[in-house]
Amino acid sequence: MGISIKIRSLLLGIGLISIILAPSSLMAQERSVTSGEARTVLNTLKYIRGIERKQGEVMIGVLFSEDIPGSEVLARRAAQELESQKNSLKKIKVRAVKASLRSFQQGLPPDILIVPSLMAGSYPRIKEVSRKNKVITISLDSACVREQVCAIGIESGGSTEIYLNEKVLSESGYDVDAAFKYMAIRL
Amino acid sequence: MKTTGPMKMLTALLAVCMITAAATPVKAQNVDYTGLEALYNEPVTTSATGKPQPVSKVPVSMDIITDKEIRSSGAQDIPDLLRRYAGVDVARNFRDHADVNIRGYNQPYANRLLVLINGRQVYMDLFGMTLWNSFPVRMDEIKQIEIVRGPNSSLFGFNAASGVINIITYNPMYDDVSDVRLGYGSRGYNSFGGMKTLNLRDDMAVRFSGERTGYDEFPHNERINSTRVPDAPAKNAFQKESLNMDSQIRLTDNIFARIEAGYNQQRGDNLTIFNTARATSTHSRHIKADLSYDSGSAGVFDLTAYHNFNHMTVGRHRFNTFPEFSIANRLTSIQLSNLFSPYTNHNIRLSAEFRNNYGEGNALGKSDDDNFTINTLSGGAMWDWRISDHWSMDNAVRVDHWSTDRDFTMDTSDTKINLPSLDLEPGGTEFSFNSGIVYEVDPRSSVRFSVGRGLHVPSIVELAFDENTSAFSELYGNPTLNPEVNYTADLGYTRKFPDQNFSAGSNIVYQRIEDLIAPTVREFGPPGNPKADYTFENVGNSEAVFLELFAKGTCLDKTLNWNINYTYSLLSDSGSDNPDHRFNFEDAQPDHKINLALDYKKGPFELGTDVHFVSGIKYSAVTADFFNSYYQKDVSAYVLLNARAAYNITENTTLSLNGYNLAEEHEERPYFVQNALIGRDGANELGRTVVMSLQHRF
Repeated sequence: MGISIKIRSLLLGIGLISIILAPSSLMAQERSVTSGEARTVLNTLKYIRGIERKQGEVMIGVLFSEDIPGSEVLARRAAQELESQKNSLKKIKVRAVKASLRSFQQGLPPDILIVPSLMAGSYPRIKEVSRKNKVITISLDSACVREQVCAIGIESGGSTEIYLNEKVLSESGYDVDAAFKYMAIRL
Repeated sequence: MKTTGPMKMLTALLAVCMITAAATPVKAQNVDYTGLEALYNEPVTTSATGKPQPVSKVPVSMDIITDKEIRSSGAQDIPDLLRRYAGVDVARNFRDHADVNIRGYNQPYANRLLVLINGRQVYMDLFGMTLWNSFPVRMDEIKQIEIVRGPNSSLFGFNAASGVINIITYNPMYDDVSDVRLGYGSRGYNSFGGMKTLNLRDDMAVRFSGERTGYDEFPHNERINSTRVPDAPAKNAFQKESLNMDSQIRLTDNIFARIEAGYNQQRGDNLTIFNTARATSTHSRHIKADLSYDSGSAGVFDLTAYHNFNHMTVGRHRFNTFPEFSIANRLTSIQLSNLFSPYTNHNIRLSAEFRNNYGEGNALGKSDDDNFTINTLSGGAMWDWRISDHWSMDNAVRVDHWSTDRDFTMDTSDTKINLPSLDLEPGGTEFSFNSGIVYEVDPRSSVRFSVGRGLHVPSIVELAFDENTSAFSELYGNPTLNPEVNYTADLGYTRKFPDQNFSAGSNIVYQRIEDLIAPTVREFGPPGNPKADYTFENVGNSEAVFLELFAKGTCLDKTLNWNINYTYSLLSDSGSDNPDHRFNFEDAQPDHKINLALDYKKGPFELGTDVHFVSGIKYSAVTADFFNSYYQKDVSAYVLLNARAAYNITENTTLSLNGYNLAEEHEERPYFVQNALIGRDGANELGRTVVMSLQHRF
């Protein structure tokens, strides 16, 4: 039986399918913390060594700045969203609060700091306080990881993408599980 | 058995391991599949490259059947699940036996598909086949089943020639699953099984499971005339018992140990080599230990060792055309791998393996302790490179050196097969590779192109069988066989439509198999007094083109999940001119296959169905009988329909009613049976079966 004649019809079929399934332009990315993103943040904690084995409570702070209009409201909503999700840690309670960049060092610093993308203008200050307080920084924008400010970036488009800056993470005194590390995009 | 060969190879392996270990550290089998699936919103696998990846990013054609899909399918065994997916060929001829292959060439004793449970080979090297009901694990303890299409020998070694099925069970450290299940149904079906996960401490967990299942065989349109094997149930019935243990210990924050052990015993009718139906009894047991060390910046080391033992007894065929025989197989494997990242965006995996594959029994030579051994020493490397945000590339290569050792001389005094040296101890050095490049057009769509070279090395039976089947015929292994080589080029495209809650894609595949290994026959004797000798030979080459289209999604407010796919196959054999080489794969492959699965869930109610259309084939086979050494039979197109209805009495208790093959009784794979004095071809018609099941999870 000859193959060549039917190959042409197969290629034609493939061409038609490619046209039908051709990629369309992406939708604009949502920058507020969705329930899915909140779940992903909490699922990430399971793979941070030291956090996973911590006893008692893990505090997540969602960063805002009094100088950035709307950031406090966004931080409060994000904290509420995080608190409403079931966390994947077996014996640890997760608390989420809004955290002011200006008064960050007043009181006990959180274990995890969520850096919203609208805080991009304050990256130098965030870098300084997070290193000083040994806080793990997580952002929903990979640019924060590329800028050496955040240790972990989470992006949810058509599929979830995790970005990891091992240097920044180690400066916070933490490490991640091997499987998590090799699945992440390391920057 | 000589010991110098294996000892030399073991020494060489240790040397390779030491060099590897000195260079860097590596990879972990200790993967939390459930947690990572939740994190990435899609199944995660290590079967494509050896490093964990979301399934949408792997550089090979792959499907993952998740635990949810397994539960909602109602499938009784793995072949019933696999047939739902594009490119997978399933031919069932007994209730407990099905031949499964990927992308064509699905012969009896399908030997081109490597099947693993948690990385442990359950494909039986002895015969070169998989007995799907000889697994010690229950369907309920499977976390996911990974279907890798195309050759993947560079990662998994010999016999991952056409693809890999990797069955991943729940990890007791991360998955707290316990249940008990009762089943009762038509055709004598009865089943009882359960499992219990125990979290002994924060850093130690174990799961125990067991199951006993029995049922009547499908009605044979020709009765199988074979003597019963020891401990066999009533004629034409099947029975199996299995036990399994899986434990994981966290020794430190970065050192994990996992120990698995299991046992399975099954007795029933089965298709034996050369396409004859016989009563068989199989005992299987295994033990596996895995030690994983994450050294941090230097990578992850993984050391795995396992031992499989299989013993099969095959009943005597009526009129002694095949005497009863028993044969044992011991497989020992030691593997070391190291996954590390020398630079950002580059991952390297180095691996080494030593395998000792030992067959023993009166089907190899004359006495029960005659034996034949295949030793294999392998080294492999994988390089994963994330070139940019859109492009990534994976390359893998593996070299296998195999040698054999026999302690018996084959009796070829009266054979008509021209085999130059039946005392030969064959061996050689083979290489395999995989290379794949993925272009992510955007976060929702990707194009993948991959090429691979896979190997099927002859089984012990194919190399060294020596059976006086009767006064009229004999069956020989052939030590002059060359490994069969599979070259595949695969272009795939997938796209997600998140707003419409579905994804779709296609694969177009070119495949060329060289030095096909197939059963052959030499007929002799005067007219009216036929005689025949059988062996295996490299019979020629074959080319194939496949088109696979697939889509899956959810609708009706996510209450209805659907999965549909279509496979078009076009094969072309080019054999030698030898009239004894009667292989015919091109006509035995269905041109068209369509699969549709629906799963609806609302409140406590669940409804599901899967429908399969398979176009007709012209099937032919060499069969070990002196009246019919070769036969052909047309198999009509058929529709297979399964359905399931379930009611969740409580959150943890489910009552389900499953119907199998409800559309039409049909044949999928003919085989040879001997009835009275005249042998005839025949087949089991897959009968309708209804099973009620009650499961309680705790």
